[in-house]
This record gives sequence, structure tokens and C-alpha cells, in this order.
Amino acid sequence: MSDPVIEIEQHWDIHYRHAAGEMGSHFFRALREKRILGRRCPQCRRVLLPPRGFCDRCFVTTNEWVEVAPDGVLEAFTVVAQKFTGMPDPPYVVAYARLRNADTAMVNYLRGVDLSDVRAAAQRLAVGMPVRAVFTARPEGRMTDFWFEPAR
Amino acid sequence: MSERVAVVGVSQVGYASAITDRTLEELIFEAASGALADARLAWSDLDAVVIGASDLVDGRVISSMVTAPPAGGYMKDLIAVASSAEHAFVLAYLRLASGFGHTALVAGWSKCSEAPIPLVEQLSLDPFYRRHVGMDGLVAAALQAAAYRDRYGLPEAAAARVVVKNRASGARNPHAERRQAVTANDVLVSPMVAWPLKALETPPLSDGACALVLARGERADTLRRPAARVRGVGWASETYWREPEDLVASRALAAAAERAYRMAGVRDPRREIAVAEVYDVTPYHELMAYEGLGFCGPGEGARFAGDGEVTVNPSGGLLCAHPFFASGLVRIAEACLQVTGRADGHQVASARRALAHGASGLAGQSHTVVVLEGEA
Amino acid sequence: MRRVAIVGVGQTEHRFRRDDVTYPELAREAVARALAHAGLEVRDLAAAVLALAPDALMGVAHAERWVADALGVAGKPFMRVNTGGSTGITTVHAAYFHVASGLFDCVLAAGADRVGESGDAQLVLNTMWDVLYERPFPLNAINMLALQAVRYMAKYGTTEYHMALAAVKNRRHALRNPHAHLRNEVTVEEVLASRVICWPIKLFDACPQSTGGCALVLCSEEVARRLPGPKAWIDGVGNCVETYFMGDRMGPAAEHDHADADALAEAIARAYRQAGIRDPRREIDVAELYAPFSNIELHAIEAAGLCDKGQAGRLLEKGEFHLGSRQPVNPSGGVLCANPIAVTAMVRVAEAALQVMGHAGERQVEGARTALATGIGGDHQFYGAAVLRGER
Repeated sequence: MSDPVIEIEQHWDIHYRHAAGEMGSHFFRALREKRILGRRCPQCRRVLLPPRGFCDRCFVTTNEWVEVAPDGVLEAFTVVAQKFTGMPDPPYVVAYARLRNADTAMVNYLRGVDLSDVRAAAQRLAVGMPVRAVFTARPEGRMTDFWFEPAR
Repeated sequence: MSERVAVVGVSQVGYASAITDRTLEELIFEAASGALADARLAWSDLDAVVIGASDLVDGRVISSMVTAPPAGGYMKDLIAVASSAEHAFVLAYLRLASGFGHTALVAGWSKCSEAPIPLVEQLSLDPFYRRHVGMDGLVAAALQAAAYRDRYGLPEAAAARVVVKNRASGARNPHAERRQAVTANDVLVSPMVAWPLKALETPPLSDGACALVLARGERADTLRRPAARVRGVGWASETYWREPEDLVASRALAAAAERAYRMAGVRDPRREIAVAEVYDVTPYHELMAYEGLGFCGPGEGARFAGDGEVTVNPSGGLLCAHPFFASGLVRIAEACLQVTGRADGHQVASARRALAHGASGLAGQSHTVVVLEGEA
Repeated sequence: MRRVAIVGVGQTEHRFRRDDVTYPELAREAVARALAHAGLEVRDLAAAVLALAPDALMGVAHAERWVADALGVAGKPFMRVNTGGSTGITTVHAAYFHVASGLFDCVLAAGADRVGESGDAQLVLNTMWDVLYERPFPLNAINMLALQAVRYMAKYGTTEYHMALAAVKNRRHALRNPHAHLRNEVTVEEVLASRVICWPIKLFDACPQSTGGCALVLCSEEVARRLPGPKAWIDGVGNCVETYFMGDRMGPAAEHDHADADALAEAIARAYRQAGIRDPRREIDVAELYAPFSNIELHAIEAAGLCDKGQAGRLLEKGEFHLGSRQPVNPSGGVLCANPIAVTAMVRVAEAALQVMGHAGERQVEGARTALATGIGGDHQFYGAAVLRGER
């Protein structure tokens, strides 16, 4: 019987500080005012959300801020039923919704859905379903200031 | 090997200790679109992209995901190389030399202001035997510097002279982060950071991005001229478990140089290379590079430094700007600018052949050498 | 353009953990097998390219520096590629360019991974998302593709049942593959009843977390012809990268939908073009298609041009794409049965090579001469393809 193999435990704790840049900062400040802003590409004319400084499809800089409406359409969703380390306790819905005036969909939580039965919940959701972006009472300028809910 | 591959566009964004008004993706876009504009190549005509990306420096796992699109990758053929940005250049060269496509863009970057670089370097040590030592790049470089000084009994003034030279050059380079000249005395009285290295003998950790456009054969003729023809490439990696003598005279550097020179038909580098951009992470590394690149014999680095036959680091080198993961690629960019007469403010007269040298890994485990020649 | 052949294939038996070896030793095991298969030695290798995806899973930053010796590269040209899940195939592309350029005659493509060892794979993979706009949300490598399944189902009427068919097929194939990690069959009922992870992806729709290594030796035509064994000629390589934001692949303004794998189709088309493949439904004998989840195999089959969009599930139901049918897909069991992330896409190339070399043992497709191998990386963003041909 051979000796047991030795294991060495290691924990990585690396702190990064990422600059949001001028454009990103402007977007987050607008969130504090409960406004969601997209960026328009002058060439393809798409309003991109989340906002970015360049359109990778045309390879040019974006040039215009466009405020998007809070109502929109559910483009994709999944009901997460498993617990992942460091992630919220399930169940919850991760969703991509395309808000009116924006040409791309953006990720956030979809709330206001009965998730007591995951498979049944999934059947009640559908691509194309109307949703709206709902803001917290006191936004702080973060992506978690708002989330999506099914619209009546 | 006959396929003609040349660099037809160069762009550098930076370098500064912290660029916070733009995200990493925005910096990369600026460098990539700048290189395409410099090459007079429309993005839609670009065939391929090769990026040099380090997940740990970027603070993103598979950082190529968010960095590929700003580097021009949408619907293109793109490969992300993760060992060094100069390897990305090499791979782009190999692709074109194989006859695939006519153009390729290469990009590299770092935002040192966003990452704890010494910690990232420490984590490259294996957890079983070496991580507990807490070595980072600075400490590894210091070990090499100490070994070199010890081997050849080098006076500290010799290292200081290299710093003075490079800092004076950096003052003339619009892209350098450090643009004030220093005196030998400034260097000698600067605080000791890791024996024998004094503060002014160590590089800054910069934010910045660099991109180049390569073209093959006749396609290069339709783009920016003059171009910088790639005459030779050589690269090599040493064993992870180094011997003390490797710290002073890298076998990988010798192998890389030998291959690049053979390809380029260079027999007497000291006479045939007008400009060399070398990886001067410390002035001692510049001296070791003189020897490894064959400009002089072992231990003669300090004497060669005074000779002036090859102009080394007219850009100011790493000692003036060190966008960490991209620094090797920046050496290639600078060498291209030299042989095409476009090194604003720091141009070396009649520079026809130049050499670029990059290194990666603690104590320079890997080295890459590229020989470039200006085309009329 | 020089012709390039794979002359040696090596892989380890993929498992959840390998406590008996370190990461470099694991890579070395695969390299030794590839060299033995080729009848070559370490000193015959002129250069090497390492496949290594997230460093954090290995616990060593820039682990290529640590593993260099295991690959026999001390003093040699060596570089590392990282394109997420497709790393294994883009590494093969890089090695291919080393040889096709004329600079090297014999190059090693190799790597290993130990996904099970890190313990927190999804926590690590959570950091691949956009720092400002997506990191605050629990996106990971599983739910990003559950989102694909939902759009695919809405677009084509495909159901979880069709997904299950792909899982059942691959598990059955893996019984014949001694290298596969998961080697037990499942039924459609068992797949449908298995625990939901991220709806509609259930436990048995998903790949395992594997530890394993893979290596390939690539040679120029001149050197390959001097070797006695069979060769797998790399007749076509193709690569294409999709936009990063998944939300850009949704809605009327999207160029390509997240439901589909159009950029994969483009990568494959580029490989087909080089290889002179005009009618894949007739010319491809066997395909090893990267698919970490059952739903992904469906649109990968479509992207390879083996059937129309949205039809793969229905054809699977009719028995197509199984071993024994006209165009088997993933006779090895595919990614669903082994996923040592850094090399999984290289294993696809390895398996395709073994097929056209006639060395695929019990999973051999009879008379296989032309094979397609693919890899997928990032959030369905990095795509690589290779067309291999054997000798008649």
C-alpha cells in the first residue's frame, strides 16, 4: 500500500481595478437618474446596449447617446436551478432583453416570475414576451440598479 | 524561405502610468484602427488578426473574448497567443509566410494600472517547490543583475550609464512614459528596491496598446511605403529549472538570435545591424542583450555600451515605457519605425537594418528576435 | 503552400482527477504517446505549441513556462495559444502554420488540463464576462449555452427530447472509446428526468469536468513520407470569430442569431474551401464536432452543412449521425463524454486523425477517408475547423 499523495491547497486572491472610462462612467451616472443610454454607430445605425466606444461590426467609433425606453422584449432566458460557488442561491432567471430604441439585447435578472417549479416556470416564459426594465428606488449607478419583469 | 512579409502599419497608444478615460477595449480599438489607418488598409480588407493577451494581466479569464472585437476580429480569422505579444507577431508572420491571406494585424496591450503585476508574476511559480519564495519579476531580474555583476565585477557606474542613455532617448520619444533625462548620480542615489537594483534601474509599469499590420508579397506594395521587411525571426524557450549560468547568458536568447540571423543572412551583427530595440527590463539586461545578440563577447557589454556602432534603444526602451505584456511587440514596432524613417524625434540616421528583442517569463525564460530591413 | 500531415496522436484516459501526476507530467504522458505513435523522439521535434486555456484552472499563472520541459522544448521555439474552449484546435492551426511556412519540418501541438482539480471552475469562468456590464450577473459557461438552447427551440421547434437524443448517442459511442471520461449509457427518459442545471440544460445534457492530456505531431510532407505509419493530411483549416456580446446576436438587427452557429459555419466553410469540399453531405465520412452540451451538437451538425438548419434533432431521431450510419458524428463520444478544456478541441482533431488513419479501434468508421474536426471557444465566439484526409 503506497503512501497517500500529497495535496497542496492554494487560494488566488487577485484584486483588479478596472477603469470604466469616460463613456462607461457617463452610462453609470445616467443609471443613477434611472435612465438607460445606448450608443449609436454612425455606419450601421444600430443603437448598442450595453454602450461601447466602437462598433465591432463596422469598426468605427460610436458617436451618439440614445436613451432607450424601459419597455422591451425578452430575447433569451434560462432558469438557473443549481448552486454555483460564489453565485446567488437558486432558482433565478438570467435573461437578455431588448429594450425599445436599442438594437441589441442586454443581460440582467428577470424577476417577478413564480419559480417554485423550475420546469413549469420555463414553460411560462417565451422568447418574444414583453418585459420592462424596473429600477430600484435608490439607484447607485450600477447594472444591478435595474432588472427586468414581465410586462402586463 | 522566400515569401516576402513586411510591416506596413504601426500604431502605439500610450504610454502612461494610468489611462483611465478609456477602457482596455477602447485602447485596443484605438491601436488597431490606428494601425490600419497607418497602413492605408480598410478593415474590411484585413484577412486575419493575431493578438497577444494575458488573462492574468487583463484580469479576465479568456481575455481574448472581449479583446478580439476591438482588435478587429469580428468574423475574421483570429488566434490569441498567450505566451507573449511578440509571439503573436511571430505567428502572424508564420501564417503569411505559409501563404494564407495577404494581410494580418497584430495587437498587444497592458493596463498595469488595473492589475497587481508583481502578484501575477508570483503566481507563475509552481505551487509545489517555488511559490512560497515569493519571487516576482523584479526579484528575478535582480537575481540576474547580481549574477552578472558578480561574474564580471561590473562597477555600478556602467549600469547607470545605460540608464542615462535610455532616459535621454526616451525624452525624444513622444510615446515614452518617462520623458525626463536623468544623470548618473540620479541613478546611483535612487533608493535600492531589490539589490542590486536601484529605483531608476527599474522600468515603470505602463498602460498602453500597440498594433502592427503585416502584408505579404505584392499586397504590401499597395499599402504604406516604405515598408519594413521581416528578414529574420527566431524564438526559443529555456527550461523552467534554470542553472545559475543561464541567469547571465541565456541560451534561449543565443538560440533565438542565431536563428534570426541565419534567416536574415546576418553574419556580423555589430556591423550589419544599425539599430537594436532590446528588452531592457534593467540596464543589466541591456548589457546581457548586447552579449546574447552577439554585438560583443561575454562580459564585454559595458565596453560595447560605449562604442556606438549599434544604436540601442533609441525609443528609450522598457526603462522609459513598459506596457508589460506588450513591451516585446513595442520593440518590434519601434524597429519598424526606425527602418522606415518614421521614428519621430528619435530617428537614427540611415537605419536600414534593425533588430527587435523581446523576453518573457521570470528571468527571461523565453526570447524572441526579429530582424527588419527598410524597403525603398 | 507546403502540405502538412499529422503523423502521431497521443491522449491520456480522461478522468475527473489524476492525483498520480502533476500537470507537466500529465502533458508529458500525452506527448510520449504521440511520439511513440509517430515512431519519433523528442529530439526530432523542432518546435512546439501549447494548448492552455484558463490559467486559473491550473493554479499556475502562465503555466506554459512550467510545462515547457514536459514538452521537450528547452532551447526550442515554443509558444502558447488561448482561445478558451477552442484552444486545442487553434493550437493545431498554429502548429500547422509553423510547418506550412517552411520554417520547421516537425512540430508538436500538445497540452493538458485538470478541470476537476480547481474545484471552482464556474467561479473562474465567471470572470470571462465584460467587466462593466455583465460581471455583476451570474453568467457562466453553462447558462450562456442554455440561452442558446432557448432561442434555438423557439426558432425551430426543437425540444428537450431532441437534445436528449444527442446525449444518448454520444454516451453509447463512448463505450467503444477507452479514452472517454464518461463510459456509461443513458436513456432518453433518464436524460429528461435528470436534474435541471440551467433550464433546459440538465445534468445528462452536460459535459463532465475532465482531467487529461492530448498531443499531436505534425510534419511536412517530405518528412511524413519517410515515416512508415499512416498519415492524416491536414487539407483544410478554417477559423472565424463571432462578436463578443451575446445580446448582439438577438433581435432583427443581429447579423447572426445566438440560436445558430453561423460563425462556426463560416470557419468550417473556410476549411472546406481549402480542402476542396463542395458537398459535405456526400464528402465527409466522419465528423468530430465540438459540443459541450447536447443542444450544441444539434446546431454544430447544421453548421457543418450536414443537414439544414433546425433539422438535426429530427434526423437524429431517424438514426442519422450514429456510428453505423452514413455520416457518424462524434464516434468518440465527443465533448459530452470528456472535456479537459484546454485540449478538448485538440482531442476532436486527434479523434478525426485516428479515424482517417484507420487507428480508431472499436469506434472506427469503416473506410473513413475524409474527416471534419471543430472547436468552439468563449461564449460561442471562437471557432476553428480542420479537414483531414487519410491515404487510400
